[in-house]
Amino acid sequence: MHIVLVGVNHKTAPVEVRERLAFPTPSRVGDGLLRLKQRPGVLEAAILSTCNRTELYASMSEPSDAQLRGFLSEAFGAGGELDEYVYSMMEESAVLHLMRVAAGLDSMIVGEGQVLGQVRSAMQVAEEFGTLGTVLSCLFRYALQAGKRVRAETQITRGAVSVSSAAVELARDIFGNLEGRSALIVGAGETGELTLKLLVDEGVSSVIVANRTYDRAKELAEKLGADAVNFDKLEDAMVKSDIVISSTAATHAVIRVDQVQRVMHRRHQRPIFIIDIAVPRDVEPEVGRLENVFLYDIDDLQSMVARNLNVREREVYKAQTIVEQEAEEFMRWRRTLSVAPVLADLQRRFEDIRQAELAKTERRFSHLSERDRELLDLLTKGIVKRILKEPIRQLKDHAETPDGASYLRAVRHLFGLDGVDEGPEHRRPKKSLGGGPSDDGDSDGQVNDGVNQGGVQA
Amino acid sequence: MSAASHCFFGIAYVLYFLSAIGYAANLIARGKDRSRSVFFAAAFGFASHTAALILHGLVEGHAPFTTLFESASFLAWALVLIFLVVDRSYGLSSLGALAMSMAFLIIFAASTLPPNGHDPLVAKNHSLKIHIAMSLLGYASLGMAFCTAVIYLLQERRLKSKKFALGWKLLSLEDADVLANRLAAVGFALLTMGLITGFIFAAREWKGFWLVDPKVITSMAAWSVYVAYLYTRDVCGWRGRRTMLLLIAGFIAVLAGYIGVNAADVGRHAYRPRLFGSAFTKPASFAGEALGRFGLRAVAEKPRVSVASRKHAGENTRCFFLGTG
Repeated sequence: MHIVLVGVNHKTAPVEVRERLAFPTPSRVGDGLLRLKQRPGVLEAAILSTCNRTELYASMSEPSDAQLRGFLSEAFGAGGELDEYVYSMMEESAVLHLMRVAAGLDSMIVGEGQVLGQVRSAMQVAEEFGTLGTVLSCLFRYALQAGKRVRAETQITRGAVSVSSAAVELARDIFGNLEGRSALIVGAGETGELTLKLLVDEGVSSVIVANRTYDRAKELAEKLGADAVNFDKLEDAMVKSDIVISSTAATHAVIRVDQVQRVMHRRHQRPIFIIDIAVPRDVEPEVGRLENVFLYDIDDLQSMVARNLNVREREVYKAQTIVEQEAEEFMRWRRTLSVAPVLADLQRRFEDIRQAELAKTERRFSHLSERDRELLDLLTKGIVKRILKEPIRQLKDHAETPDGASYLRAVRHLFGLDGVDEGPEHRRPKKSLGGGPSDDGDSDGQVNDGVNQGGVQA
Repeated sequence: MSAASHCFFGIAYVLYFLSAIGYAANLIARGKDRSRSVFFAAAFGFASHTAALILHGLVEGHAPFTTLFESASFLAWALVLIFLVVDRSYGLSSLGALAMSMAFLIIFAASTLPPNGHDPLVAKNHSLKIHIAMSLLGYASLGMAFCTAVIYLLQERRLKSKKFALGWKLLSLEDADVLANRLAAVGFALLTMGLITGFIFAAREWKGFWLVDPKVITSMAAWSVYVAYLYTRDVCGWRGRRTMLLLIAGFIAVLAGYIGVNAADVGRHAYRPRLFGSAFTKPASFAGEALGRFGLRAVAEKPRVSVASRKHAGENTRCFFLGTG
């Protein structure tokens, strides 16, 4: 089994390419998964599709990305060369990549929070459509854990990285819970609306819109489900509001010191948070010096964002270490996983040999009583068990070490566990090997033949 | 005899110190939030402290604020109690760092002060016990209000300066304002009751013009500051900075009364060895005694200390610290 990743992201492909490769809904993802699973060699599959990336994760029987690349080209459709945008990774680098993605290290804004949820839903959809097996589901679980750890143990996700989320963060520092707070939006601007939307998501319940022209205010108010007031009622509106967002196109100050002084008196000095995102500024800067008034203009917010981004950059190194730890954990788990089927095969092989030998000599022991035959059965079982005890223990111990894989390969080789397909090529070196170490090579060879025949029949 | 209470007290002493450090570290450190484990350390310290107080009370047979050290210990206990209650709903390291440091400093400072004896009146008079208990609980609540006010001012400073990336996790202004107000109201009520019971006691027992007692004066001053706080906030509509400064001033007055009066050893409120005064004014022994009192060498040296105290001081005068004697 080989973990293979093929995909495009915001660094390798422009949006025109990404949008043609996007799987925007779970049902589309599910549909894609089923088609992917039908391709030869695909054992498990998962699709991570966000606006910044489309990535196919698969557990393949062959270490090749051709099938996955083929699938992507098919999804892309005709008309355009895709190869230059697509990257592919195998095994450990693919594992590390998913963990980095989940941790937000591969995002456009480092430490971005959404992607962890998107990784989780990619896993859930694949689970739902039954394309997730042991390896991939474990990989995704480790990736989610890496994401959670990075978020908990580093500052990479802390601090607002956009003007509007910075405003929300400040509002929380002033008012705590924003549930039931009220906001006033003066003038209409895109950032203002966006900020307001975030505030409403945080629980701000009543919104007032003020505009120089009442009709425009009314229009916006209807869109936002708010109340509209005229500009001459601005002071009254400010008395009622905890958060004021101002973004008019006015060339002179709209909110003046004397106004705010009156407002504060009428508010009984309850704190007010004024966000001035207009250029030129809407609020006289002296307003910020009043007690219990917290005035932030666009420069304040932007420099706060810049500082936060700076902190995030510094945390990347720490996050990277966590991601590597989790990837290493997963790889170790995988190595122990690969030992299980080998052990099962090995035991089955020996049991087959035992059965075959017993069957062969059955005639000679026909005079034995039922009880003696049982004893013979137990005796042979015991011998097999004793022989296998040490090798099994050693295999388990070595599975976690880097050369565990070579041990497994050697065992598969030595005992011909690779199935009958490769039988002829495998038996040849084994005979030469088998001749070496022991005198009972003869009977060994016989047994092997017998069992391999059994294998064919089965 | 009270090796057990020594031991419990020692545990509380250490845990208060550790949780103060823990909260401060959690505040500054980036990465995992460990305030929960620190909270458990503080809570365990508090439980241990409670056990020490109960055991000591049972053994000594008097209220747990009969000596200066006991009263300091009780004050620290009340402070931690209020902090733990508040922390259940706010859970913030900033408050913990301040409150636990304060609790630790109170008992630490008490241990380095010259030991003053207990007031024999306290042991007998019930209204005096109520007076002291109310006052100390009030101080604790006002102390927490003080901590909250400090946090408010820090947060306000931070928001006004606009020069920060990731700030320490402080209480939001509104939460700090509401919390400080509640704590101040509770503290004020307790302080008022303490004053009333004190006046009743003084009117009955004290001769002379007792209103000029330094502690009475500082307490009245503190009380007036809190009246000013409540009045300006609720009637004049003051908010924010100014009201917080009043809370800070009020608590400084409280501290001046509590520490100053005992440190300067003036007035009738000072815990002082009235009957056996001369025996305990050798500064050299203070530090050693302080260590012993905190259980650091308590178990080993207890018998000797015990005997010595009996011999020199008789009764409980020497048993200035919780657990000795």
